[in-house]
Amino acid sequence: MSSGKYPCISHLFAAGLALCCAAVPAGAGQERPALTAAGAAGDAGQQEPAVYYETEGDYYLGYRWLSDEDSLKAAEYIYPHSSVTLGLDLVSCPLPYRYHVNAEYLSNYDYYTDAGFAYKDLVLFRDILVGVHHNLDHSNYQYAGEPPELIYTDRNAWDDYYVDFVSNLLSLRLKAPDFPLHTFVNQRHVEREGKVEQRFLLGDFNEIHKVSEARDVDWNSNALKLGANSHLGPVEVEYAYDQADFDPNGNDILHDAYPASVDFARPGDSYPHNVVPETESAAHSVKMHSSYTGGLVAAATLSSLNEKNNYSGTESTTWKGAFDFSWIPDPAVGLFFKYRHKDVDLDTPGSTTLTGLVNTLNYPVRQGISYDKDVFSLSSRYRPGKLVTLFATYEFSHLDRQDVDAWLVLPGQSNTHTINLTANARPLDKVKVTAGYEYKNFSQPAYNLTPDSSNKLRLTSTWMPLAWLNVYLEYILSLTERNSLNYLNSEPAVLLEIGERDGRHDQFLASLTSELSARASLTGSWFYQRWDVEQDLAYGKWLTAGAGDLPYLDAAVPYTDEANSFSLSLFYLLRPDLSLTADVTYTITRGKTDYDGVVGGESFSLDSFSALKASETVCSLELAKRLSKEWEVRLRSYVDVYNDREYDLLDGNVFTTIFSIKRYF
Amino acid sequence: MSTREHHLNTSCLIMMVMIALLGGCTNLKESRPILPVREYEKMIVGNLNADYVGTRNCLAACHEHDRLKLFFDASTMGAQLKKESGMPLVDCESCHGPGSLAIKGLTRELVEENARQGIKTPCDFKTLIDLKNLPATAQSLICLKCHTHNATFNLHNWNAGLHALNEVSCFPCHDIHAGPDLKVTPLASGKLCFSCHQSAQAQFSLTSHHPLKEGRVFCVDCHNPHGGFADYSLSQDSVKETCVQCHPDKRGPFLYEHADVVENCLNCHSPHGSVNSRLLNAREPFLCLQCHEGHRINTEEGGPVSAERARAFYTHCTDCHSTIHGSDVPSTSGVGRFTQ
Repeated sequence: MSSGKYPCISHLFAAGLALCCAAVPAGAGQERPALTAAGAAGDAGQQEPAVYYETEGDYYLGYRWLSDEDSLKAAEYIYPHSSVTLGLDLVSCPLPYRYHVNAEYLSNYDYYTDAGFAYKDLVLFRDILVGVHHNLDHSNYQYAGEPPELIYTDRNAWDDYYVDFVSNLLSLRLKAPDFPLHTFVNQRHVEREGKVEQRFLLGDFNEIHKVSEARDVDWNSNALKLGANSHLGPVEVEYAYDQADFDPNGNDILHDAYPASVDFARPGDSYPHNVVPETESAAHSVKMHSSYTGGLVAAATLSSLNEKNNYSGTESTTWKGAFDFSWIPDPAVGLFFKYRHKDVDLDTPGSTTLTGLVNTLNYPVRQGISYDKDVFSLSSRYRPGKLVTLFATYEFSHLDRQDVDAWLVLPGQSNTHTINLTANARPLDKVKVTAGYEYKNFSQPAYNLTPDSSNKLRLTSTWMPLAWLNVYLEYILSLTERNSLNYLNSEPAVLLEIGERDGRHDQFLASLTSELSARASLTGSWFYQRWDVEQDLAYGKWLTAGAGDLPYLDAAVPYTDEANSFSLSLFYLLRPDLSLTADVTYTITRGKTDYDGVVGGESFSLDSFSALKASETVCSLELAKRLSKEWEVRLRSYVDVYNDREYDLLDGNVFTTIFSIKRYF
Repeated sequence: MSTREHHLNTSCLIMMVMIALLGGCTNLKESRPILPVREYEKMIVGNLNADYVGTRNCLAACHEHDRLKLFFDASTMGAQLKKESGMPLVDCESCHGPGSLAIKGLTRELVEENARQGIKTPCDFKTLIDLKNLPATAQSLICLKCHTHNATFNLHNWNAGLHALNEVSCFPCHDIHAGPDLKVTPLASGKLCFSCHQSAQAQFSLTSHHPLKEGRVFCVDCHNPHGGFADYSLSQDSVKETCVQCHPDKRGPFLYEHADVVENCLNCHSPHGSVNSRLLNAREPFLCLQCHEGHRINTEEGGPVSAERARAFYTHCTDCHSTIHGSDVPSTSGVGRFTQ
C-alpha cells in the first residue's frame, strides 16, 4: 500500500477522536483544584493526603567488549561488534500525569524501549520498540557436483548472512471523561533489513543446478488497528478496523537464466523466481459481551478479513465468528461453552503468465483450497472440596474443504473429537498435583502428520518440603498412531493408502528452587525431551522401461530427536552493597534417522545427510557493586560455546563483557 | 487494494454510527444490578457488621502500611484515590471490604505513641476480606466488578478462556500495589509466565529458539493471557495470523499455496524451541518425507541413483523447493512445485 493512503486512516481516527471529544463536557479537561476528602467522602475533619510523587529511576552508561570465533551460531542474536551501551529506567507520577521509560541500548541493532504516558484515565499511550540482530547460518555446499547433471554454485561463498529486525508497537487509547467510551489505535511496524542466503534450483529434476547467493532484504510491514468501544448498559460493544501491508521494497523479484527443459517443453530464458510479493489485508471486527461478573456471561465476535497478493492477484476472504458462554451456577460448578467458526474463501486466478526475457508462457493454475471450519467446545469444572478440582472438556471440530477435486491427497471433510480430563489436587498441605489425560480421534486426517488417534498424559507436582525449598516435577507423554498413510505417487498419478506411522513424545522437567538464606537463592533444573517417530516412507521408482511405477516403501524408518538441558542459577547478596548473579546452561542435542540402506533391492543410504549432534554451553556472571546511594557499577560477562559435533560446520563461541556505571535518581 | 477505500468508508460509517448511538445512550451508564454468582458475591462483599471508614483511616493511621502506601500511590489504583486524578474513585475498601472492625479501638494517637516506643500496632486484618485464600473465581470477581463496566476489551474472552477455566485469577499476574498502570512489562512477562509454565522456559534453552531469553521477543507478542479466539490463548485469531505479525513475508495468499498446511505453522515449526534449525519439528528430508513421496531413487535404466544424486535430492529439500511457504511463480514443470 502506498504511504499516501495513511492520511485517510489518520483522518478516520481523527474523526472518531473529534466525535469522542465532542461528548466531553466543557471544562472537563481543565485542571481541577485539589479537593479535600471532606468533599469527596463527607469526612469534614480530614484532608486528603498530599500528592508527593517523586521521579524515580536510574540511568547507566557502559561499554560492551565482544570477541567471537568461527561460526556465529553461538552469537545467533548478538551484534558481533563491541559497542557503547546505555540504559534508562524512569517512573514519574506527577498526577494527573504518569510516565514510564525502560530502555536498554546495546548497539544500533540491539535495543529495547518501553515508554508510556498517561493523563488521568483519559489518555493512555505506550510505545514498545525492539531491535535485534540475527546472525543466520550460511549453508555451504561441501561437495563437488557430478557434471553435467549436478552443479553446485555458491555465488557468495564467503558472505555472512544476517537480518536486523526492528519492531515498533505503538498504542494510544483515549477515553471520554466520565463515561466508558474509548477510541484506540494500535500500530505495529516491522522491518527486516540485511542479507540472507537465497537458495534456488536452476534446471529441473533431471538437470540439477543448485545455486546459493546473497539476497539483500529491506522489508517493511505496517499493521494498523483503530476502533472504539463502549459500555452500553447490558452489553459492551467494540468495533475495530485493521489494515496491514507488507512491502518488500524492491529486490522482490530475482531473475536468472534457466536452461531449456525438454521434459516440460519450456524454452531456455531468463525467468523470475523467488518472488517476495507485496501483500495487504483489511479486516473489520465487532465484539460484544455481557457483564463479566454475572453467573451467566456471553461474549460474541464477528469479523471479516480480506487479504490480497499484489503480485499474483490472489485474494482471500475470511469470515470468523466466535461465541463464548460461561455459566457458574454454584462455586463448585462451572460450565463453559465455546464456538468458533472460520470460513476461508481463496480466490486463485485461473491461469498465470510467466514472462521471460524472450518468451511468454501461460499456465493454468489449480484453485487453492477454501474451507469452512467449526469448532464446538464444552468444558466443565467441578470443585467438590478445597483440595480437589476436576475438569472435563469435549471438543468437536469439523473441517469442510471446497475445491479439493484437484488435490488428490486431501479429503473433503475431516472431523476431530477431543476429550480431556484433568484433576488438580492438594493431597498434602505442601503438595500440589495435576494429572491430565487427553484423547483425540481424527476421522479422515488430511496429512500424514495427523494421526488417527492420539493419547496424551500430563503429570505435574509441586512440593515444598521446607519453607525454603520448592521442588517441581513435570512429565508429559504423548502417543500417536496412524494406520494408513496417504502418498501421492507422481507417475502414475494415484493416491496410495499405504504405510503406518507411530509417534511418541516424552518431556520431563525437574526443577529445584531453594532460598539458601535471606541473601542467597539457588535454582537447578533438568529438562529432557525426546521425539520418536517410526514411519513407512515412500520413494519414487522408475520401471526398467523408463516409465514410472508405484513407489518403493522403506518400512518403519525410525526418526529420533533428543535434548537434555541442565541449568543452574545463583543469586547471592555478598554484602548489602554487593550482589552476584550467575547462570549456567548446558544443552546437548542428538538426532538420528535410520533409513534403510537398501530399498526395494536398491542400495540407498541417507543416514549421513540428516544426523544431529551438538552441545551448547551458556554462562553468564553479573556483579553489581553499590558505591553510594546514587552510584553503582556493574560487570556482566557472557559466554556461549556451540559445538557442532556431527559436522563441525557451526562450531563457534562468543564472549561479551559489559562494564557499566549506573546512577540512581 | 481496490477495496481499501470501501473498507475505510465502511469503518468510518460504523464508527460514526456507534458514536452517535453512544451520544444518545449516555443514560445507560446508570448503575444496573449485575447477575451475581451469589456465593462468590458473599465472599467478596466483606464483613456485613463493618462500616466503611475511608482510605485515610485505613492507611495513614497505620505506619505498618507506609511502604505499601508508597507502592499503591504509584499505581493506577492509587492514583484513583486522588480526586485530582480525574479517575473513578477506588479505595482500599473497594477490594478489602469495609474496615471499621479492623481498626476498632485504634486511634491515630495510639498508633503514633506505640510507634514512638517501637511497638507495631496491628489492625485486626482478619475482619477484612481474606483475599489470598479466596477461590480464584472470587478473586477475579473483585477486579471484574469494576472492569465489566469500563469497556475493558482485552478481557472479552476471559470468562471462557484457559486461565479462568483453570482457576487462575488476576492476582498472580497483576500486583495492584506496585507500579503504574498495573501493566506487566514485556521484559517481565517472561519471568511471570515461566513461574507457572516452566517447561516452556526450558524449551527456550534449546539450540534453536526465538530470542526470548535475550529479551527481544516476549510471551505477550504471541499470547494473550486473557484468552482469545484461537487455541493456546494466542494474541491473534490463528497461528498463522500470530506468526505473520513478525514474519509478514509469509502472509500470502499465494498463487500456489502449500495446500492448507501453512494455515497452521505448527505443522512444521515449534515456536518455543527445537533441537533442529529454523525451529523445525524434524530435520529435512524426513520433515518433508512424512507427507511426500521422495524423488525416484533408481534410474530409468533400472540401477540405483548415484550417491551424489541421492545427496542432491535428500539433503535439504528446501535447497530446491525454496518457496515452500507459498509461491507466485510456476516451476519448470508449469505447476506449483515451490522451486521458483
